Amino acid sequence: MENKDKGIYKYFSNYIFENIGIVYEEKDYYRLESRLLQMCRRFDVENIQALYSMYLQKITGEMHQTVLDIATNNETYFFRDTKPFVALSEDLLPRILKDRPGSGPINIWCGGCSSGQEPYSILMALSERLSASEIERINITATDISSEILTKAKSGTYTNLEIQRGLPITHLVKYFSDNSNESWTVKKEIRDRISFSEFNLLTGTFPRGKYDIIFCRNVIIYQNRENKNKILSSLFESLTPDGNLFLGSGESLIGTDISYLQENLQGSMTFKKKHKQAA
Amino acid sequence: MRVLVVDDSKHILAMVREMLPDEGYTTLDALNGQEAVDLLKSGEKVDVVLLDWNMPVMDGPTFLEAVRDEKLTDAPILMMTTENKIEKITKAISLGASEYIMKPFTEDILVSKIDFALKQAA
Repeated sequence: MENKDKGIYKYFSNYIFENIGIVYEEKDYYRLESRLLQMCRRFDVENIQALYSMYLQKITGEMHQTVLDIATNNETYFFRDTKPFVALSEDLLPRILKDRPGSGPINIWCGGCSSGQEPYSILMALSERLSASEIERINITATDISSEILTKAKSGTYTNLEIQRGLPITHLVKYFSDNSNESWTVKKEIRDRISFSEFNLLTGTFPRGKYDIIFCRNVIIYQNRENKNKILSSLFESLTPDGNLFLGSGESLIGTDISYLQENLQGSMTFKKKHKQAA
Repeated sequence: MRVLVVDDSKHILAMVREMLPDEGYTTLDALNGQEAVDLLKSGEKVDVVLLDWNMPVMDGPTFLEAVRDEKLTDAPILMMTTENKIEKITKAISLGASEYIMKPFTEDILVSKIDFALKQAA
């Protein structure tokens, strides 16, 4: 790679890091290249150099959002890793419902929800276990930084290949409508129960003590140590005192500055705030 | 693990054999439902069945009925077909199919669907 090209990659990797904290090191530039080429096609410019010139002139809102859209890794599928959904629906939620009878809301946040498979999996898993009145108490907020991927998530429409990744066939028949064109859409009553919105985990304002459960899986893995600390501290602030955080199967809080308690729920690790002991 | 693959397309039979990992999987081929019935009646033991819908002599749904009525095997049966409309899927499930692989599919889908069906059956 020529030095002037390196400068261009450095420019875009810095832009991505400053806005969403995802790190593209020099060894990752080949991945960045395919993403920048995607942007060239979208803006109909000839090559990456022309794209760079365009960004140097003026960055419009659309151009800003496009960088964020292409920089995130949207790999996801239904019931990814299986165990967190079992832990949630068979252990955690029944316990919460028992401890807190009545009609008060139970708030779940899915941070970094990508194209929506995770929040829909959560709701399907819960619908299999809970009564209709219990489901009424569940509020699911699903956020992602990419407006483009959120449009897909909200639509709840998936191809034949996407619905075959992790989704049991009985769930397809029960919770999806057949569009008769090799695609399927999550039924409206399920879609309507999830509130999708844009949120930047690095710069957003986190609600304090709101969520009983947070899923933030395979997100911090792309962040450096400083940003990981920042995001995780904010997530813990957003949990209720007894709230549980689910991370991706390859992620942990080891190496961060956070005091936490870890619990193995049906083979899935969850993390809680460690409260200071009263003197 | 012994996988009985029932499909009238030799191309599909070869593709499935190619896609399944060498280690741990052996395939047994049948070109239609009747051949599969005969194999099971001859005492062949299989752990899982992959079943096409449209085949000459005996199609997939008729094979499912034969398995149910004559108790030919307890192995989970996965449809593997281009018949992907919800009515067809519902019919296959009601006849005893435990999972559904829509053609065209990828290697990861094939392997994970087989794993899932075996776990459900356990």
